[in-house]
Amino acid sequence: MAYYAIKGGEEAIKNSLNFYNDFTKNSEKIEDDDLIEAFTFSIDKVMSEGSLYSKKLASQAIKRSAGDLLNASFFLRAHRSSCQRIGICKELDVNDMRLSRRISSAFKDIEGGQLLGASNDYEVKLLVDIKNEKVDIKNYSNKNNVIKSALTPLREDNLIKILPKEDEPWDITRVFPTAPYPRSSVLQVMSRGESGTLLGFAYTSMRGYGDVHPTIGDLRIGELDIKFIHPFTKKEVKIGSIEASAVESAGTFNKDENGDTKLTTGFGFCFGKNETKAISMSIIDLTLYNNSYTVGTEQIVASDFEMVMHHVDGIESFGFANHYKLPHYVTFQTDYQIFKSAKKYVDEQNRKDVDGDIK
Amino acid sequence: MRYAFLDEEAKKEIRRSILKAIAIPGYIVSFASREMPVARGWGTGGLQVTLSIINEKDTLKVIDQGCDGSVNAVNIRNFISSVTNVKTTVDTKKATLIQTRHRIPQIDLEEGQILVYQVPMPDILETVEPNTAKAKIMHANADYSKLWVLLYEDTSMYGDSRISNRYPVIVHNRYAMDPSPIPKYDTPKLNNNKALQLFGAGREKKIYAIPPYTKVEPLKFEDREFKVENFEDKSCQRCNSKNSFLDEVYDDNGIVHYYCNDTDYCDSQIKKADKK
Repeated sequence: MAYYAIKGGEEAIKNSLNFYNDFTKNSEKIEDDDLIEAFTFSIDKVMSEGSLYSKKLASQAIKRSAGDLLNASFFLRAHRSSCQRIGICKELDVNDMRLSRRISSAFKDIEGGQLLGASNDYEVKLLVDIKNEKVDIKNYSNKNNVIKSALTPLREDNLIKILPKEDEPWDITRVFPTAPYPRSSVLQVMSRGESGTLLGFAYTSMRGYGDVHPTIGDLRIGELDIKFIHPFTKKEVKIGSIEASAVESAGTFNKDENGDTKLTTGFGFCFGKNETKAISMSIIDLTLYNNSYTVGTEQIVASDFEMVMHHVDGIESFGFANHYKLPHYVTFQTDYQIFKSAKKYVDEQNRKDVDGDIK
Repeated sequence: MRYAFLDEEAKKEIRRSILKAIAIPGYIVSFASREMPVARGWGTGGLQVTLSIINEKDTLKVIDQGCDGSVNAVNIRNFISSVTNVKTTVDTKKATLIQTRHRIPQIDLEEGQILVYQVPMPDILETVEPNTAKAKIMHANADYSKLWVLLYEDTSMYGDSRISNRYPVIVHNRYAMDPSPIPKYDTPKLNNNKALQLFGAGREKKIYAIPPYTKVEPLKFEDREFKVENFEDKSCQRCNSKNSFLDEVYDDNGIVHYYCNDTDYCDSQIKKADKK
């Protein structure tokens, strides 16, 4: 009977999940170490959007999602909620990064040189096997490449606009701020935002809806040590290291709070190797804090804090978009009734108009 | 797994937010909102409220669209009971804690009961002012003119408000509040309810409340009637109830049948009839 068909959800859920597990069963055959090595960019994306740095857990999440990376990030976020916070690590400085890659498109020659590292930027995307020529690397150095940002000379010459520093960084996982949003909270939201969404927002400002003309001042990928003050000895200890991407992009000049003309910059940072996300974030940062220099209007999407703060999180947008699959028959019933009565009212009014019978 | 999934700091924060919300009826309180193992938009706000106030003595009921057996209700109930071991029930009268999506139970609630709503959009002003910073100022000034204008425009064009569910209400003569997407049929039940009503919006990270016996009125013009959904002469084909909120169900032959939306109410009506 139809009545019971609506009620019988429990068995249906179980069966549906069993069907789904036919997919994930195949994923489970892959060892975590293999997956981490083979799909390093997937792992990094999931750790970044899931806001939890663990390659092992990211690998398990990807397997549990049969490769659906947004779903995998969601697994990590959910796991995060069940973990007690132990403390807060010392501030990181991306200038201290042990670089595996660092480029600058703003300058031809930079201190420490352009360090391409591993990149497929100049690969020709053809699905046929083209062998890359072997190159003898003579001047390869395996020393720790710690080089400051390529924009450092300009910063030392006091040419770069510095935004006011906050006393304490905000923590969006403990309190989500209301407007006006502290800059640290804005950066946090973007840093764990969905890569594609950030790219889309940034792209709007590159063409059509904004005019930031970003130049990549410094793009870097490398390792950063995580340091922590030991609760008993009170001494600083290294508790591990993370791989991260960071980008400083330079925009046009603008006046700072003292009225001096300065070059503006935007900052992007995320876990793992995800240059596109870091670049996108740096561009949005640039548009948000320098909207008076965008051509046309200040009302563009990428320079609107409300737009960015509430719409770039993948876990939230993905969840809400999918919730429309839940039953909505009560609300639809109410929509339908309102629609019918409004239609009746409008039809009556129209009839009165035709009959010239308006009161 | 920790009792009730959330870590103690999170529970403490949510309880504080709930207390603040109860102290200022209808006012929207921000909270951090942890990610839950259930997707955002699927009841994570209600879930966090429930999990932070639930204890061993509670008896839990979970409904979705008025039904205990609806897929999402089953899912949420199973999750909560798996992390708390509380007793669950479908009986509205036996429940101490009821988590709901889109309905207020047909049977009147009693003192001591708590009704937790899952809320998609916590701020009713979102309909007329999407900028949260501006909306906050409007709330502070009790400036609901944009809502009134919307109501006026709708009334002049369509004879009534086009808002079919989550109809705006004024709580305790002060705050305009989003009652979550309940039908207008349920709106009067918000008023002077004996139970504590808590609202949790996970994705939007907000909590608000209506304490027991609080005045809640739909936003309407004095000279206009507040019309709720009506099913005319239809009655439930199962329990014959004539005044409950009904579901329209099409069978395989395309024939429409009407049944009580609240399945527990329907069952209890049948039981009553059997006793007679």
